[in-house]
Amino acid sequence: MVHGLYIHIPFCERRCHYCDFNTYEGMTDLAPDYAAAVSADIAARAGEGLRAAPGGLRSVYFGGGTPSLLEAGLLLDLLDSARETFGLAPDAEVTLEANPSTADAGKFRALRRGGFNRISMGFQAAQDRHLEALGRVHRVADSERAWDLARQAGFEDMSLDLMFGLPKQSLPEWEASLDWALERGPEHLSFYGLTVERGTRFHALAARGELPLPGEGEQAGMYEEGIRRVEGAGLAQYEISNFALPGREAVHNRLYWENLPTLGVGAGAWSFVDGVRSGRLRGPAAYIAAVTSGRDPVAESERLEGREARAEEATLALRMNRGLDLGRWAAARGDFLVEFGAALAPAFRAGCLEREGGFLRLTPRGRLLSNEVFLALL
Amino acid sequence: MEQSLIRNFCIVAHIDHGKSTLADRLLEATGAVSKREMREQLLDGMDLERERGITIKAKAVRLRHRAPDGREYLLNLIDTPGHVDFNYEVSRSLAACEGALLVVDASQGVEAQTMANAFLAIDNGLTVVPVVNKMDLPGADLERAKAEIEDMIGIPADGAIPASAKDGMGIPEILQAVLERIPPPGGDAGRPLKALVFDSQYDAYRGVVLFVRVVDGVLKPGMRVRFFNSGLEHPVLELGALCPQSVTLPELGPGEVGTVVAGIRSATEVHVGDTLTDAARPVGEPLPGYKEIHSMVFAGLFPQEADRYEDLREALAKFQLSDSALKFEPETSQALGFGFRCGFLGLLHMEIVQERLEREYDLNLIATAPSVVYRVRRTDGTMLEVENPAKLPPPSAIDGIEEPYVKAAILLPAEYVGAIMGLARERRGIQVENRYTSPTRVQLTYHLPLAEVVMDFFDRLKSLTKGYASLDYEPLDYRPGDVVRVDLLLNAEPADALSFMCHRDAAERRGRALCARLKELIPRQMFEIPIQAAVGGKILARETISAMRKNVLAKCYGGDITRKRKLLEKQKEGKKRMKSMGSVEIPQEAFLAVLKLDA
Repeated sequence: MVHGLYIHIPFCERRCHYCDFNTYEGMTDLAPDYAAAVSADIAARAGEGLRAAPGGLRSVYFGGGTPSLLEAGLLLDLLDSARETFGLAPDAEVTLEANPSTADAGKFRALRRGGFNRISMGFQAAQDRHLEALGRVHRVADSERAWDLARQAGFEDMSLDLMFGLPKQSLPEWEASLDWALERGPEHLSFYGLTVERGTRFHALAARGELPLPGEGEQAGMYEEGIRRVEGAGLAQYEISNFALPGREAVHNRLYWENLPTLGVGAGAWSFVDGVRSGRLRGPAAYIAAVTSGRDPVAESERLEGREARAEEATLALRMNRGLDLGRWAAARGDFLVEFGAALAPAFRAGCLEREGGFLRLTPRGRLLSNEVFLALL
Repeated sequence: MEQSLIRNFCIVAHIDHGKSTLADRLLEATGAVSKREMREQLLDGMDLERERGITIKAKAVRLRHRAPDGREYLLNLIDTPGHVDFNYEVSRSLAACEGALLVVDASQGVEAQTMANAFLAIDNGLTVVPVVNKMDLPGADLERAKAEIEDMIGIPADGAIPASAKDGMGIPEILQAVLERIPPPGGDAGRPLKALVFDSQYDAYRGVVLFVRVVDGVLKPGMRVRFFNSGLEHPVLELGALCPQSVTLPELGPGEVGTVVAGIRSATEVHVGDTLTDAARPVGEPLPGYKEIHSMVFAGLFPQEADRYEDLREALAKFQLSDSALKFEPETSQALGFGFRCGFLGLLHMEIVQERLEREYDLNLIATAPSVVYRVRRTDGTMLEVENPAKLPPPSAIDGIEEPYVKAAILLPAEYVGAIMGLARERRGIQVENRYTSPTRVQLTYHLPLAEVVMDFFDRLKSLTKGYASLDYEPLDYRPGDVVRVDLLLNAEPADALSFMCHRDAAERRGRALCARLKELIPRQMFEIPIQAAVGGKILARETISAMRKNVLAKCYGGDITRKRKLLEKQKEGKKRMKSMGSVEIPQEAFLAVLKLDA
């Protein structure tokens, strides 16, 4: 039984210098076969007896990669197979991740009519030089145009992403990016501190000492300023990197942090079903081959149990500003603080955690040091 | 064996002056080992023993020598440990001999150890035969070496034998001198048994093998022997000697040197220097010179992998079977976990034990900085020996502290005298003698606190003199010292394992250095960490590790959940290697660096 469906579209015009997602350049020719394979994957899981939770799927999310690279027809086919196979809740959130460079009025209108009701755009920065340094395909003007086109196509629930802690980024530049983004009037906003991941171009640059990132203190300052400005615009923080107008928190995101079952289809997509986290084959061709020949496309899986599973669930819950509901936890899993209180004592003492109104949550300082808190749990 | 045909002797020398090579040549010349069998340095070669499967190190070799006069003599060449740490053991081996070959390097002349060992031999009443070795080297100077022997050791050097153990020069002359100048042993076969235990060795099959020198009476298998000092009794199972292959013998008479197997399970039961006597007809007085040995230097030994603690315990226990000078007891360190507090005769002994434990028992060890034993006089009049700062009573309960001193002899080229006097002064040394042994060489004698010597004195001495100085020291006495315990506080909580004892004058300097080093080595944590060094509540030094600002995974969706949890688990593994002290986590590397911190 699953509450959400994630569909991974692994194609990109160009891979960004910081990106370690499962994405591939120059493979868009595979798109029709790939979409067919994803539909087959969905059907096969239903054939095995997998069902949506009562009331239907609460979220269908097209992530990538660059889902907006696909023809509207293919995207709508996929949405249809999800709808026909599992059924969608009447108010289901159907999200498309879009790159501003791929914006197309006709495509947006078609998708909106076909049932997509949310778009998430990767803006990243309001300075072309930063977009260039990140290896992004789009420029600032593309972002503004894409945003307006989506609005005109009837998308009323729109999110955008920004990044901070970029090479040579100054605090005023970051503030300018925030202000510019907020001027678009998003319902939802995410901002992420740049993480240098292994296997990326940035990682190689950093290894050679050629990636001049802001210092830890500066980055912390950017994060704090980001919260101030975004909340000042009326979007409340609900997770370490996520903000929304009231009632516009992403259903998709919350399924993860509430540790609810979701099915992930497509190359390298992750599922959490019946207590098992599993990841599919990462190569698009391998994935297509496996699914079309009726083989299980899962490449790796893991079932956490006992304390480990509880610790993981707690780290997810604590990512959210609302925190961990101690009462609900106790009803299902025993007293949280009896099990983890001692391990968390240093985090409490350091002012990283607080307990209020039956919830355990990270303090603003604790959010910046959340890994330290989570380390104590594991 | 007729006593007039026996000669018992040893070779004393400074390290690297050619003792082992000379021993090899003597074995060859007497036919004990053929040239073909000969491998370098038979008496010293532990690795060699393993290769050959010989289980017993040749502590004493019995050589048959047909002299030019046609008679066959029995020569017992007794090995002596060459280092100051084993001073007492050396003196007991010397006591088993009537003579000593004093080997001096022809180009380097008399060194500190040469003197120390020569004086030990003279004190034990031995006839000393000087040998000037390495005459084959270009820098050889026989006359200078002889002059130094006369000036520095004070024995006539007319008869010094020029030799080169390397190419065999002087070997017949040395053998002849052993027969002619070294007196045969005395002793009376008819008197009650009196034998000196001068060494022992552990054998996996036979237990402890004693090396003895019979003074009076006759040792025979089946006899019940008693150790005079320990009072323990054992039956003699087997007598023998090493030629250097092991042979069994029907008896050992007066003046003879050999091995005794008596069913003894552990070397800890055997005390070097003890007197062996017949349990049925015991002597009234033991041989003179017996001493209980005391550990001079202490250090903690911990396994690098916590799960090797039991292996370390077993290794130490086995090691002790053959080395009774090693003492150990369990110790728990906040920082290093479970390990052992070990007592050693000195720094070299400590190094040897550590190296052999690692090599022979496949252990990776962490050794803490060596420390000494302080005597604490409490206000109630009782004395307490303290070698671990954590065990020091509170200042209000202390009337005074005494620290061990050594008498150190330093021989060095005259040009370095100023530098070394400075070093000795810095280390609280009291000069007792300053003597030119030749126009270019000086002997400095100091009384030095042992604590200052064990730190890095030898290294400093060597570096200040470009390696030309030599050092020898012996325990002297305990003297009152203004010794304090420096406490380390992390986040205002005392970190016992980081506290140390030192002289009050050095406390602030060392405390500052330690705080600064810790600041470098302890990673930042969720909170600010003050590091303080204090003596009796008075803060001497302070550093602060500022709090970490940011450690956050920005994204955590779908596949990130597993991947990033694994990332955190990896970090967690790293943290597990850290030790918590109160609320502060210290990486082991940091801890070790601190323990090894130089003054």
